Parts: sequence; C-alpha cells; structure tokens
Amino acid sequence: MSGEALVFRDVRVHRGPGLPPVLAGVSFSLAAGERAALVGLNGSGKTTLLSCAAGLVPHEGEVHVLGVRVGPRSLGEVRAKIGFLFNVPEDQLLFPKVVEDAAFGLLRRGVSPDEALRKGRQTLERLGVGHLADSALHRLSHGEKQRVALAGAVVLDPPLLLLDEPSSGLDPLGKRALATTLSGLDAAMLIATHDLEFAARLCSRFILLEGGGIALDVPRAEEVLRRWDGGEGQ
Amino acid sequence: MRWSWHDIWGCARGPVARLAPHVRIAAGAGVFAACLVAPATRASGTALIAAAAAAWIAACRPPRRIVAQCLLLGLVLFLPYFLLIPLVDAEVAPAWGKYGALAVPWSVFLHGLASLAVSVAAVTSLGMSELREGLGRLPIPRVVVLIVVQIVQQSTTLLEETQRAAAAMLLRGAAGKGFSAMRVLASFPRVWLPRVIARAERVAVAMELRGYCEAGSLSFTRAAFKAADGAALALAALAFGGALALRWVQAP
Repeated sequence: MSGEALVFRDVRVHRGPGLPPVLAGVSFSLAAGERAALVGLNGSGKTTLLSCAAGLVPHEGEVHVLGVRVGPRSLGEVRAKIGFLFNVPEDQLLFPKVVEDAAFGLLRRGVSPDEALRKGRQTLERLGVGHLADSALHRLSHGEKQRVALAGAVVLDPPLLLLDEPSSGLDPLGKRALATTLSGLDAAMLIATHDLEFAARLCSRFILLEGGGIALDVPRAEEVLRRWDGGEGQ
Repeated sequence: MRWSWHDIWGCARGPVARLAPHVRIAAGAGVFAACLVAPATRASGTALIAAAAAAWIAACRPPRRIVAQCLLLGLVLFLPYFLLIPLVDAEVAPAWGKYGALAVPWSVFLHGLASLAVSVAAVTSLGMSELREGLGRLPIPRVVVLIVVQIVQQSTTLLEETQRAAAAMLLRGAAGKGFSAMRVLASFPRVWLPRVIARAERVAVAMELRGYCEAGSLSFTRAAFKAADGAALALAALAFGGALALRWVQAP
C-alpha cells in the first residue's frame, strides 16, 4: 500500500435510520502524486467522501491514508499527512493576519515563530499571494482567501490534498491561476468539484459519484459529460 | 466613513498602542475595574471615574469619530435609567438630600458610560493579532483564550452574514407595512440562527482538522517588558487601588 496516497475499501456512510446511505460501498485508490476529480450532482456524497478521508465522518469499511488506516486512534497521524481545503475558505481561516494563518501549521508542529513566519511567507509567494502576507484576512477577495486557505493547507507539504470545490466563486482568471498553482504541487489530490473545465486542467482521472457509489472512473471529463447529457445519471 | 468591526481593532495611535499587548489588556482591565468599583454617588468617586476614563481614552487616542459614537451609544443605553427616578426611594442616598432618587440612575449612567468608553478605547489600542498575543501571555485558562480569540476572529463573517440575511429580508418585504412585513421580520431568527449554527459547526471542524486547540502556542512574537509597560500597569493599579479605597472609606 506504500504507493497509494489514499485507499477506500467498501466504505459506507449512513445518513440515519430509514434513509439511504450517503456512501454505499465505495472502493477506489489514488496513487501518490495522482490528481483525480471527484464529480457528481449535489448531494452525491463528494464532501462526505473527503470528510471520511480526513476522519471527520464515522464510516464503515476501510480508509487508508498513505498506509495508515483512518480511525479514532490514528487521527493525528492521518491529519498530519493531509491538507484540506474547505468549500468556504472563511471557515478554515483562523487567524486575523494572512501570514499568521499560513504559518500556523508549522507553529503547531513546534517550529519557532520566526521560522514559521518565514516559511509561511515563502508558501504564500509560491501560491502567488506573497504580497498579501501582512494583510488582514477580512480585506481579501474570495479568490485571495481561497489561496491563503490553500497556503495553510500546503505549508507542511502534505503528500495528500483533499480539495472541496476549490474553484467555486472564482472568476475565470482566478480559476486558471488556481489550476496553475495546484498543478505545480507534487501532492496527490482528490478534488471534489462540479467544475469539469477546471478539473480537466488539473486531473487525469474523473470519478463520478452517483447513488452512493462510483458510477464512472474514467480518464476524460468528456465521458462524464456524455453520461450526464444522456440523462443516465438523473 | 462607516467603521466596520474589524477596522475598530487597533486603529488607535496613542502611547498605549506602543505597550506590550498583555500590558494593554491588563492596564485596560485595571482602569475598567476602577471605573466600576469607585462610588459614583460621591464627588470623589465621580472625579476618579471621570479622570481615569478620560486619561485612558487620551492615552489610547482612538479616532474622534469612534469616541463620539461610543459616547452616543452610552447615552442611548444609560440615559433612559433616569426615567426610573419616580420609582426610586430618595432615602437610598441620604447625602444627596432631596435629590436622593437621582443617585441610582446617575450611578448606573456614570459606571456604564465610563466602562463602555474604556473598553472601546482598549479595543482600539489592540489589533486582533495583538489580542491573541496578549491574552496568551496573561494567566487565563488556555481554552478561554482560544475561544475568545476565535469569537473575535469569526465575528466579521458573522456580521456580514447577518447583513446579507437582513438585506434579503428587506428585499422580500420586511421594509413594507402591515402584517406581511411583520411576518418577514419575525422569520429573521429562523433564517439567521441556522446559518450561524452551520457556520459555527464548519469552523469547529476546521479547528479540529488544523489542530487549533492542540497547538502549544499561538504566539508569533516574543514577550518584551519595558519600563513604560511597568509604568502603565502601576498607574492602572493606582486607579484601581484608589477606587477600592474610596469604596471602603466611609463618607463623612
């Protein structure tokens, strides 16, 4: 399992008694460095699947992150290997100043404040928002917040990135810039998105979730579109 | 110009803003406590409250507009207490003679206005990052610091969310007249509360995922203590000590 960044084996997540499961026996794996788009209609379970990988949702079956099985006792170890980008960037920005938020992960690992801030600035530069390092977070645009949140997620160079709708609310130029930024990172990525055009810039694999399971696992976005156009997924 | 919640933090340019963050918080708390403890029903107490609050505001030097708005808010909040005069027994403050009934609303008014002004001035002397640094260096339980800092941090988004919900309500008829407008207005809490709860849940998840509560330190700067910090603390302690003494010493 050492070559796999993420493995799902027969994973099931239940909504509640009497309701259909959100995930009903999902199995797939993501190789180290691989970038896959997780697509599906609203409510298809994309966010739940990402949350399972981060140990945020109780599940049945097995989820492994870089060889570590996700469970109550391994959460710290698992989360240390993951960078997570939330759908709404404001939700994960916990500090008032950009560079502080970017550097927090390092500070938490025991890196000295000066070194953490230096590396935080470096990461912001790498993501094209270095000029915002000393800005107050509330003054940033949505796209800038998205990149700062991403900086907080990648500052520790995690080998696996889980991105939930990273392009939502971004203008076309912002999407292009974000795709360029992400394509420059070495980490394996699982990107939950409705935006097939954005995903096509980044991913070589498209996993379509439908009815709690994987309906398609294909190398081209067109095949997903064809399925939707044919109305099979409705 | 309209001040937003975030803009108020750290906008003052007085000497207090150059003190160490934890000293600003501790000194502000000292002056605040002095304003609350000093007996407003005696001339000496009134003088101490007024002097301490005025000195603190002058030392913080917040923008005049904020001071004016703060005083206006204080008047709106505390002046109505004077309407209670007919209900107050004049005997509560024998030293005031026939004006004894004035003593209670005056006391509420002066304590309230002064402590509000001192608090706002303290906020203007602290940036949000400095609040975190300062609270982290004071002997306050860590969990309290983490929660307070995050409440302040998330407050802007919450205010923006509230404004969006209010704008939507206005568009959907809350600005009109009659029963339908009342119905739209009455539904505001039902719209607002789930949003706030959902947001709080998402932030909690992010805090868990990022290990916010597990971090050994949230401080990015080194603690430094200068002579001016000591002087500020001594003055605040003096004000508080004076207020306590006035409270305990019997009036002639």
